[in-house]
Amino acid sequence: MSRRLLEELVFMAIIAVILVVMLWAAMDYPFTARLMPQVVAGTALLLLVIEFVQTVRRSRHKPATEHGEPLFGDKLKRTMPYLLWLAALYVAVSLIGLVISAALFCAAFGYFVGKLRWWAALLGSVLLVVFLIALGEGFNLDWPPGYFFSPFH
Amino acid sequence: MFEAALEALSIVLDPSRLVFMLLGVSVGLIVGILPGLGGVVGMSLLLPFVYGMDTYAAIAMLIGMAAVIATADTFPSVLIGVPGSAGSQATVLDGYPLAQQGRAGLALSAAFSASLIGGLIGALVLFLILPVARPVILSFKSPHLFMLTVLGLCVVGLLAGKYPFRGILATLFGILIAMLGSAPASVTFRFVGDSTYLMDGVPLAILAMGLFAVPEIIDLLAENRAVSKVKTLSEGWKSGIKATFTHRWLVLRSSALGVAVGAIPGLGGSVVDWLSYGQAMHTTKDKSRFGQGEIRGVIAPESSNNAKEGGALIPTLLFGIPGSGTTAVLLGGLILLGIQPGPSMLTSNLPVTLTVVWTLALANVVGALACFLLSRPIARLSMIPASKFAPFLIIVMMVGAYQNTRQWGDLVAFIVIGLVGWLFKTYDWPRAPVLIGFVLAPSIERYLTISASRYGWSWLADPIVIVIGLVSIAILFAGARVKGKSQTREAS
Repeated sequence: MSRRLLEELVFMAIIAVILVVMLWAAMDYPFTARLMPQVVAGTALLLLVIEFVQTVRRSRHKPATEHGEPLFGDKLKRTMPYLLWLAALYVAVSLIGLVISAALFCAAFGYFVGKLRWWAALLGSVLLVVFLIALGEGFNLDWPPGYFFSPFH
Repeated sequence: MFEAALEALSIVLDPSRLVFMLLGVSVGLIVGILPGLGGVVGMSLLLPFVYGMDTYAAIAMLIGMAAVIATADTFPSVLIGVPGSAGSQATVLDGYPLAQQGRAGLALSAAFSASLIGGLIGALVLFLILPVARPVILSFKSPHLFMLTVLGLCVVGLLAGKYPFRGILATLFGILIAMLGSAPASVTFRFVGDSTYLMDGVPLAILAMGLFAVPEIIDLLAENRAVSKVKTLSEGWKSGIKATFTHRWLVLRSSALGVAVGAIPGLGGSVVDWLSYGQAMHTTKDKSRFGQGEIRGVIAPESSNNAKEGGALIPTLLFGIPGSGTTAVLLGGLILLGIQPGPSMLTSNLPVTLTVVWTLALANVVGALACFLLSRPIARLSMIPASKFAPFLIIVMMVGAYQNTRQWGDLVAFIVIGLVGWLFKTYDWPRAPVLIGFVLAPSIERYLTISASRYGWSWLADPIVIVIGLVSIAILFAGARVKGKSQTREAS
């Protein structure tokens, strides 16, 4: 069994567990609230079993190279730095609010990852802040507050 | 009727009202270009301003906005592979591959010209159908509407992605996601646990942006490239317009389909582009290019999603039953202005109705022209490496996500759905049907609950229900068989 196939089957098994939990949880609801979830989750479980079998059958007809790249390998290695950037942005927003975090994130990402010149990265983040403030004023928008301070909240 | 139409035209062309129509068109263009937003968001933005406005000016502004979203939403669909709104999901399938091949110009100009023709046909049909639509619309009952929605979901599921059952499963996941939160027919909060955020359900804009934009951006960054895989926007703008006229019958068929489906309440918005994509595929001999950058796959959904606006206004104006989410908010606006939609729209309020028709036509022309003018600079965006624009796009999307309920849950839901979307993309599960299932879930649940409560199980014996059910099953099996055969052929 190829690693990709194994990953796909595990992915489907996780979906199946979620569907079973939803079916089980729906049993306590009144008729009008449980009818639709039970019909949909039940049908989905049935189709998932068919898809599970079909995925295994398809893999037998295909050479291992055509299965696609496994996620838990090179792909995750390539993607991880960007997921970490995203995680850092979320942590920053939760601590110092959106506007300052956005400016810092865009400047740092543009300079280190986008290989922009320092002044271009700085200009981009200043323009973004101006855009956000104008958007906030124009449409009366609100920003996620930071734990420590939120200057434009 | 003809004299009334001329009088309505003079009302629409009044400069003071024309300005408001242009304002609505401008807002519609911006909302359409921003991924994940759509007619409902645009209508919600404009609605607070209609208080105290001149009735015709307010209608011009609202209809002007609604009319052009289906044209402008082509930009994100083609350039970054993210549907600008629910009605432009099918455009992504061929529009995005065309942009990746450096033919964004061809895709955009074909889409805009098809949208323009579709929009005008929609307005014309709305004008012609007003006096005769009533008996047809009223003949649909809840069980029929439920079965039509099921049929739509089957078609969508089959057409999206490589594997038929994954498409249908994805629509079912979308329906299940929509069931998080309060149940419509009883005082029950479903699948929310202790989360107060989930009690109102997952907002549509967050689901759309998370499912489509986050996975695309992550993969673009990981591959370190621009949206376009080639360095030039080789094929031009004239060939796009030419392609639309070459496929004129496809444009006409898709527009007719758009009007017809748009007129069915709750069905239109997110299914019509898939249905017309399906008929384009069905009527083409060489189907192998669909999904790889086939221009017919852009023309068909774009002409139908503009035409459906005319169709969606038929039940909205004549019976007060909104044909789509956008028209639901429009309905609220009309009531705010003191206009009660219903049969009076053909008698005492006829000038208002005809003003709507003219505005729809005029806004489509203005919107398409504006899109043509803007398309060159905006298409160049597809050449910029992802690492240069991704941080700005991520921030704009986070801002958009946070405006839904203004809770941290919005940001958490956005990123969690984004990661799920990324897993879907990685393992070849189609994402568009999740969104369609989500959008249609409230109507399908309402129709099922009403059918079960009012008719028991006897509605299953209704001849129309049986016919639609058999058609759905036939489509399901035939589609699965055709896809299975093509996969076997590819494997061998």
